[in-house]
Amino acid sequence: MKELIRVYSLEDPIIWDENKQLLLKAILKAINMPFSMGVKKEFAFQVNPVSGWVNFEWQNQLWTSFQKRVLKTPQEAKKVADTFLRSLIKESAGKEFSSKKIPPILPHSIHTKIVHKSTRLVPHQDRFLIDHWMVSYAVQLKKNSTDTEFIELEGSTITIRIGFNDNIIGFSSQWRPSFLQSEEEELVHHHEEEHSDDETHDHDETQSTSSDQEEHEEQTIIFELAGESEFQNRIVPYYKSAESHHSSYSPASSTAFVISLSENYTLSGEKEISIQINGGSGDFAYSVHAFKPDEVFEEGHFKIADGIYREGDSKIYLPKAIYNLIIWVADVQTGFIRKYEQSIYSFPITDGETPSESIV
Amino acid sequence: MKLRLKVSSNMAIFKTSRWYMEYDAEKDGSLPDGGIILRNVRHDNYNLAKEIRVIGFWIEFETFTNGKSTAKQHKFFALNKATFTYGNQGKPLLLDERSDSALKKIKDLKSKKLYDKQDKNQKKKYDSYINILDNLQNFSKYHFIKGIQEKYLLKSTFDFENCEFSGVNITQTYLFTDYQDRPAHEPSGALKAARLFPLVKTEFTKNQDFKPKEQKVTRINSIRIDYKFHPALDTYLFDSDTQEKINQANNQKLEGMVNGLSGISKDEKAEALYILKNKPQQAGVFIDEESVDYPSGGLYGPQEAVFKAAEKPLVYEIGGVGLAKGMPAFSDKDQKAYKTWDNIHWWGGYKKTHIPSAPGAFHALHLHWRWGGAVKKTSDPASPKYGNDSQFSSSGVPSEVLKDKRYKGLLGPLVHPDCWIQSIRFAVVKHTDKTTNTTTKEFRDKFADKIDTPSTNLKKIDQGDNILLWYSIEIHKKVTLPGYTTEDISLAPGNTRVNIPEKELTGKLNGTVFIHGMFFAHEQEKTVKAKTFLGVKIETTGSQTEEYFPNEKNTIIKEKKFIRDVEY
Repeated sequence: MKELIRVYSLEDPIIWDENKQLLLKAILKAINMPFSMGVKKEFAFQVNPVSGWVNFEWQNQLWTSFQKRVLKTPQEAKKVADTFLRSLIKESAGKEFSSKKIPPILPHSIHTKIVHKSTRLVPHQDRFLIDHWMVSYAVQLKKNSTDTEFIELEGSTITIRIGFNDNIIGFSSQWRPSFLQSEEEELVHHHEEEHSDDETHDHDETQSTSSDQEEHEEQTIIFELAGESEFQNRIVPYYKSAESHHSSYSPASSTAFVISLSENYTLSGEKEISIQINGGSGDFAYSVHAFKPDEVFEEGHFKIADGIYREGDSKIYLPKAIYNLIIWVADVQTGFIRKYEQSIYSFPITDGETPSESIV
Repeated sequence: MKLRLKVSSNMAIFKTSRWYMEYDAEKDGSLPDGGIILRNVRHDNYNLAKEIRVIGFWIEFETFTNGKSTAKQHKFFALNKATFTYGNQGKPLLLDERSDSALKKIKDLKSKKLYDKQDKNQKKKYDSYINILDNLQNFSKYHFIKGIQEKYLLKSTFDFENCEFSGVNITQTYLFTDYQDRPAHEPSGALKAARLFPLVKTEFTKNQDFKPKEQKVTRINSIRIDYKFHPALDTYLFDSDTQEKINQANNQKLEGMVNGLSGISKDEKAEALYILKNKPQQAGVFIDEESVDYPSGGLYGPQEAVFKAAEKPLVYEIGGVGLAKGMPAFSDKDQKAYKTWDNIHWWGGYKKTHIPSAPGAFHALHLHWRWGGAVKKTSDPASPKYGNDSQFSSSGVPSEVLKDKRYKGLLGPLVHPDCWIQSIRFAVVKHTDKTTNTTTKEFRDKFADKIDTPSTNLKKIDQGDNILLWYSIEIHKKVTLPGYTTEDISLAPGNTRVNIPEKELTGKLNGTVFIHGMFFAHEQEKTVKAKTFLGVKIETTGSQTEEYFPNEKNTIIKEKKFIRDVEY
């Protein structure tokens, strides 16, 4: 019988950005604070329009110059944080949200779990004071409709900071807007491809095809949440495997794909970067951009190339410099988009050139 | 989401979506002496540093008379208004959102229904997808990098006869990235982090009146940039992630702490007071391995597989060499060979309560100016697949130099190709009331008391302390690879020895330093299912315990030395 795994849909975070006041209202309600335009100053509230990551701070209660009366035990702190999470889920799943089709601020469904990760007592960094409790959680998503297993959503973190008594003075979430609609795809079974040719520079993220059970056992399936300002329209599964301390990722469903680069110098003295995509439908469009960290103030970022992906033939060439290379890839069959970023140190030596000739 | 800037007396606030920091400013918002001095740096309310600053620049001048060196002088140029004219009337530039409308781009994206499945006709429209991808790469909306910059122009010309350069312009830039795992920060690729680039760019101006064939000629050999970092990561009074399981005894202790340190034992009170007062920090220094015996690496743990040397946490204050004129190895005057240190990890820690993974560094600041060859993917199937990423295995050192036998097959450092001949020196020392914002002609002289009389002046810091990182990068114009003798069996018997002469290489004095940046992660420790020689097991990404090799902790304590270089 085929093993299935879910691919979850994400909504455009702009819906949170455009309804920021409603989100803030829900957060304030969850911490028992009246919502009014007049109290805005002491609250810093932001929604990242790309990722939907939410940041709320009660600014004059964080890093205060006086000793707050903080809760006495980690159990009490966790209880307050748990209560806040429950209230926020309830507030952001209410009528105002549902009538405007706004996804809840935190995942609320039988398809998810929010699991406690740590409770910490945080001193003030400058003063002889205890500042607050910090309680952290992470999100897990259901593997499929029949299995009871929940899988870690790597990159998801929910942090709650508790100041005076049970006051929530900070809330930060690495989660994205979603109604947790999903489709089920066949779980791809992998094992490591054995590459003996070092020149291929095959690295980073690889796909392979065998279902060797022994190899499969060392792999963990994870869902992946992209970074702070990275576009993401699906949550897809990957295998995470490790040899020694090195992890690698490979696609665990037909939608998932991974991007990697190989580098070579050309006779003309440029660095050749070859794009490799493993997984997905095989039908990709790509666009490559870059910035140079040492010149970004003057140059900003710039486009290098775009095209239709062809295995072994999607290449770009970079002259001497240090680049932060950004590769966007869209699977035109599934609509799934993924970004890959890598630093490139390109210092080609052309024929006859010697370093000693490089005089100021 | 706009970058916010607030100026009050003597201090301005620089704030992005998750970064927060203050910097010293005059009432009109201009920078004071010291240039951009960052203070109270935080990311997502995780504390990172009390202070980050550049002290100034040491330039080495050498005068030649009739082609012979007749004098060498080091001159210090402090980063202040007496020495430099600040650009833009001292008001720093911000790398902020550009004028094109973020909202417009957002609407463009929405109209393209990126979050919906495309219909069949749309699917095939690669051009429309490329257009979509280009829209995604938009600095207005995708504000993944922010920065602050100031330019400094040397007020006076160099006071040396017939000098090849008349002056120097300095650009100081701090870049701050968003929190993400790409580019990979370490070869496991499993770590999200924000990056901070404390960049300094040097631009020497040519002396138009310079006459290279004159009897007397002054040339510049190097410029050294000295940084002072005062990291201050969170040290928790209680952490359920790393400390003992919550129990009643622990609760009593915590209740005592939050009740004004009452009702707890003397020892517990002393411990809490120490953490509250000092916010103790710990640091580790590492030399990466060049190749890995994977089976034994799996047996003895990843730390011994990938590190040639480790001191984690530092036992005493330390001074070390990170790079010697572009080379990851150097010899002393007795021709004894040493390997340079490759990276520093830094975390908030007290005793053994929180020692973050190494490799890993989940809640830590880490800076790597070089990765060892162990990071590379080889024909060994167990070698790391991430390791050939350019940010680990590439280098600004010319390939011709890397291929030279005298580079010993080592991976090159992450330096800018324009100014690849760099020396890195560092010191981790206790912060005291006597700490001054000065450096010395020879970097090590600032720490002479610790070097010369360690018995009284070298401080133990392994329990966690208020410590500073002094970090110095010198850009040299020249490096000489020593001559050596080799055997060539194709030559006539009895005459197979060949003398390879020394080789002088020249780089540029102009370029940007600290291009590798530093990474700040504040994640939970992670575990993975790992394949080892003994089978598959769940393990942390790296060791979360003290690590001391090749010198054991007892040896380090017994020797009590400030300079702790490791023999090659």
